[in-house]
Amino acid sequence: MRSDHDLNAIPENRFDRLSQDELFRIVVDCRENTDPKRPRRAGAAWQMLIAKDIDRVKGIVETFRHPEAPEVRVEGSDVDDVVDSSYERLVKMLRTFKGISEGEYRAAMRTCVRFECMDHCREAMGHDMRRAGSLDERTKDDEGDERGRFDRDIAEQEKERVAEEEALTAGREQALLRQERVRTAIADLKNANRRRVVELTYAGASTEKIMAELDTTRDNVYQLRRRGLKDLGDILDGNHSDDGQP
Amino acid sequence: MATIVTMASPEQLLSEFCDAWNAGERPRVSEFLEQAPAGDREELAALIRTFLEQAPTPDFSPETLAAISSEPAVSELASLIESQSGFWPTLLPRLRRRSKLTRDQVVAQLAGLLGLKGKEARIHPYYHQMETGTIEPGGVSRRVLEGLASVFKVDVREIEEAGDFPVSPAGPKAAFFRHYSTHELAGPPAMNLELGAHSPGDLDEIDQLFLGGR
Repeated sequence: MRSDHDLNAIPENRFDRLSQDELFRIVVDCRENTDPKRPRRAGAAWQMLIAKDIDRVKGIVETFRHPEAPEVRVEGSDVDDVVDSSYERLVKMLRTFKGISEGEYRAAMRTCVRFECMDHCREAMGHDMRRAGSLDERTKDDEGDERGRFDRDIAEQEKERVAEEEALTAGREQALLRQERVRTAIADLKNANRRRVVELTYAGASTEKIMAELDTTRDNVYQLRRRGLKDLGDILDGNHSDDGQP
Repeated sequence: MATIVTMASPEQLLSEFCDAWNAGERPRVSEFLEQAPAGDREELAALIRTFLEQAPTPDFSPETLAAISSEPAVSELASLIESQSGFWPTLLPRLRRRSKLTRDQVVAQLAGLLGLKGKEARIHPYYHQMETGTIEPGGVSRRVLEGLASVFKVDVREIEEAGDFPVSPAGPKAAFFRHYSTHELAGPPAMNLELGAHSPGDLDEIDQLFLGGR
């Protein structure tokens, strides 16, 4: 593992060679530094950090199901658009993100992408709160005074912005809790073989390596992985049904 | 990109996906879901989602990193570093693509909303600067932002905040909110196609709309 001193010596055009953990350490170290060059370095590290997560972001968007209406999802033709919007949100997040661990980053990233998916679905369902119209359009306020529609909207939009910021903060906290629960949830998997396959999968092990480690067949690894991840998802979503069976 | 073998069972597809991910082969979720029987797709999507939440970020090869950097979301991200206009270089082209409008069409509609029909040739270079991040966002008037919000059918706040946002934390937000003198805003000629060497007194209505601030 590189020391902080070694990390500081790495130029920004070599950030692509750093691990997620190393990139995140640079972000934490540089983001609030008074030397103007350092926050810029934090920005460059952040951008590489989220760039390397492009497939995770896409995958989360593609598998997103609205929590209150599972049939509501991001249509295939809209995935790239939602990914682009998610990235803008992720870049903006650097300004307010105070996390100091990679787990916090991961949780915050997941929250950002999920919020973007939900916003998109809300729009797609025609429940969009956003407004657009003629610049000359007039409207009446609560007191009956006529004013420009956009003048009225500014105050409402500010309220919405504050509400969204609060929701995002709450969402990040929930995501972080979920992140922390994952570690214990894996340990809580009752079936030892399923647990081991999930652990090895998350450690980056291939199916062949797991077959060798558990001295079992490919089909069995497939089944254990499916059931282990199903159990894990159920535990995290509060639908715990781990039967402990092989 | 990962090459997937046609398979049907969710457990096989899940494992193939995990293996391809961990090998840094960039498997595409939709391709795997399409391989599953229709009745199994929801379960497979949930399993992949659970995996992705915690999956390690692979060690990508230089070739794969190059491919990642050429993805639109990532390449536009990189272009933001040098942007003077916050997120406009990503937001405005995306909104335009979503609206299925050409740049000329956006300018024509904007001119109409601003009551400046016939002045499209003057407005076009300024809109170009907004899309390419070479205009100071604090100089662009609220009328222009509201006009664009109307053209793209989005909340004006979305455009305003994107322009105001300092992409790098090195750019203090105050710098984006402060008022600029027309002398400051003129900048180098190449960056202000229409303003050129004009003095502040030469600013006409269109210049004011894009350089005069809110």
